[in-house]
Amino acid sequence: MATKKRKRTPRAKKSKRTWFKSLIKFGLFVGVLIGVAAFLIQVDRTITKTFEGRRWSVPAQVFAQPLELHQGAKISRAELQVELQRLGYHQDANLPTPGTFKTHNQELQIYLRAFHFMERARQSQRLDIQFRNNQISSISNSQGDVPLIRLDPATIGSFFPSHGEDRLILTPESVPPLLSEGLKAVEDRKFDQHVGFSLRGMLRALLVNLRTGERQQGGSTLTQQLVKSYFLDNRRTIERKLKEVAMAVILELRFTKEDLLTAYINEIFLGQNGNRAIHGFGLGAQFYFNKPISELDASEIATMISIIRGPSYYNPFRHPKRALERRDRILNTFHRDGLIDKQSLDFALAQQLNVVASPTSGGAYYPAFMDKVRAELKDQYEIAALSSQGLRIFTTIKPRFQESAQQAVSNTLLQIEQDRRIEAGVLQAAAIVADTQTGEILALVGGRKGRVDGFNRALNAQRPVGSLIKPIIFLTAIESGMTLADLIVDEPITIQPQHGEPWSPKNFDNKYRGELPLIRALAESLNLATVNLGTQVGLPTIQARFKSFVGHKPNNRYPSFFLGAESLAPIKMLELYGNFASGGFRTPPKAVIAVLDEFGTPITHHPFELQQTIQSDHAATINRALEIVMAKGTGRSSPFSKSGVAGKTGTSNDNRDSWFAGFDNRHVSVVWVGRDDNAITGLTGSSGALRIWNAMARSQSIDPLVHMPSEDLVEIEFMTGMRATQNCADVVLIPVADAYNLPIKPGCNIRTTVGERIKRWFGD
Amino acid sequence: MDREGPPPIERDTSQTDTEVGQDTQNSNAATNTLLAAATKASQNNEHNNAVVYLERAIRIDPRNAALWLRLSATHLANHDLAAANQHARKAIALAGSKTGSKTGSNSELTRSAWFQMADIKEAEGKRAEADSIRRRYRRYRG
Repeated sequence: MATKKRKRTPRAKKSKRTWFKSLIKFGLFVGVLIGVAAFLIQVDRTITKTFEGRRWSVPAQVFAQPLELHQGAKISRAELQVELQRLGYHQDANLPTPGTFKTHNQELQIYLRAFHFMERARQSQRLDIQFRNNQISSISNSQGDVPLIRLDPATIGSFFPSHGEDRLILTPESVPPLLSEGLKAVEDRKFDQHVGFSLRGMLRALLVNLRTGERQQGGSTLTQQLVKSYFLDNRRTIERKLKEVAMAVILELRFTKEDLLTAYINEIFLGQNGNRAIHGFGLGAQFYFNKPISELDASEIATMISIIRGPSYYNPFRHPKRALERRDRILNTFHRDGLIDKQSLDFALAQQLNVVASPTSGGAYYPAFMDKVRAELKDQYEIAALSSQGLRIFTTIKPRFQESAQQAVSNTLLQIEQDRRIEAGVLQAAAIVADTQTGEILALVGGRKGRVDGFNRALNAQRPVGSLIKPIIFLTAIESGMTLADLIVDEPITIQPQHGEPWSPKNFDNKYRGELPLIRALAESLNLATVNLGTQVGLPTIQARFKSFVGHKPNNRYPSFFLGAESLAPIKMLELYGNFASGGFRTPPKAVIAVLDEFGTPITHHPFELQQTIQSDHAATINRALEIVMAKGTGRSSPFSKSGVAGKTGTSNDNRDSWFAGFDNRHVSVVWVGRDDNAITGLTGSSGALRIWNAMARSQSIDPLVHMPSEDLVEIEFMTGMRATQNCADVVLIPVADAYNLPIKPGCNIRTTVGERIKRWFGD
Repeated sequence: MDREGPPPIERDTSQTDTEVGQDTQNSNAATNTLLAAATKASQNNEHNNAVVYLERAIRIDPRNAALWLRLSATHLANHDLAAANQHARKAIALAGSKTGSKTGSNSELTRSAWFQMADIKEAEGKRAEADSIRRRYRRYRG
């Protein structure tokens, strides 16, 4: 053994050392290899997951109600033109692409866009629409007459996630060739050849940057830019650069060039709108030009590409000159690379930027209405699903109504503040408009600034409703067998509850009027008469009726409920008045019609919901009474008071809340005006909320209530409830079943028939 | 003024009717297109689609009692008795209010609506109530 040991030569020793060294080297090598592999695996996992995740993460899109076009539809050519422009259609005499229209006298030709509606997809097509007397007189397409067709609905919002990224996903087929080719020409000439990065590009950028001493060139490929945009990290470190290159290479290995370019087109950041980040060209086209990407021309595509380099620096709204210069450079690049011919170049260069008027007008966004949509969906859908699964949500809103209601609120509040010397900007308001028969919400205004996503007063401001509650008391009286001509007393009353202070309500003018008919008490909104009537009919009965109309018990179980000492949000008041406006059905206000998945398959449909709550003849009676409130009572200051509308004003204690609820044949609306700090405004229902309603009625026009047949109505004197004629008294027409029992006003010379007289002698 | 709604459900709904009220006249061809689509959907057992078509028709002509009655029939076919019941009541209310009192040509529609209500009651297992409604409206002329 020892000899053997001795036999060991230095050479052998050396060789062993070398072998050992090699082992270490090999170990190190393997270690590095393992390290690199681990790094790559980790990088691969991160980037692939992110890529796949982003690729399919699409916020739900929310659509308005589409405009229905058919023969006899009450819309003028000019009005339809406005609707088309709202949807981003533009005039072009050749109708070259969907999204264009042209007019000639009483004719409008439209190249209608394709759209996937709730129940079916509709192809794009050319339509010829004729008008007569502000109505559509005929619609035809290449196949002949068209009895009914819809415009594409406006996109009114999307449920982007809390980090704010909103996008509209484009498929590779829907990307215009000029956009993909143009992007490569401007941002990454070697895109089709490189493996994710370009050494030459990076070196050139480095040289340029070193020479000029500042960062002139990025040298990033589209793939690298995509990686950067995923991780939103602008630190320039070697480690980050290496990671970026590794990720770019992995993406190139795992996915096709087309996948990557499409992802880029859907991902890139193009601007900021409040808390909403505009990502991708699909949404960018909507945001900047209010139209789908397929309708962009060369100049518009160039403008969008120009934004990539600096969404705030080249912001076309804020820096139009800068944006225009860069757009022109890009157009020239297009031409140099043979993407557009000389004629197209000259034409495009001659164009203005043509972005929509302001960042907020591109694609109408209605945050207040969206709150209602969210509230209706929150039980069925997770927020994460709404912001990522590409759902398509069809809703009831009509943009034309929404815009005019918002304008009515904003403008009228300014006027009221001026007229009444109220400090500018302190008043707030809410307004909601719904269809009388279906309860579908057509407009929802949550405050004076429509685009601001703030406190939604229409849904959340719980305010005392004042006299808006009174029709329930009068209806309950009618249901108990009284008529509008029956007499009640308007005189002081003190109610002593079992516990607490005695309550002595007053009229608004501290006067009292003695005996008078129900109709006058309601029309003039007399508190004492109402409390007397309510006491007679019974608080529990009245409160049970309240519950059947809005679905929950009142909070206030005391007689002050008779005068509206009950706080409710405007949307609940709308629900209450819907019972009257629909002719006796509870139709809860509704915003969502259906939800479809990304492939257009319906997931949920929200059909009409209704429940009969009032017998038809009683509903007709209370509606007639509310019509008289407008014609002769607290609503008479309205220019529409005698146009066939019904309504009621309301004012809470000390004039803090001003309310109006009203309806015609087609629309029911509720308006609230007050202050967020609940301070006194000095406004009554008619000097505040009613004025806003007037402005809404002016722009939306009135569809007069369908009247009861005249044989069911009787003329009575408004002041006394006695039978009279318009020759001898100030009369109103109301339904009274046993009119022969009514006293006749002396001197009115009303002859009763023999039959009537007999009935009168024998009672009924 | 007498108004006649679009044809009651038994008749061929693809034909336009004569002598109809203002609103209805303005949109009759349009709603008939949707009625035809709803009929087709119902025949193919696509009740949800039929509901979508009929609701669209009602959005165009919301006070048309015949449309509400058809919607009620669709809910009945889909075994949604609560909805069928409420929609039939709506049809009855509207059929009554269009002519006002219970006279005029809308009595036919009112009668159809009550007969449908009887079918709904029967489906709800309320045989006696159904029979009583049928007896009451068998010879109903308004």
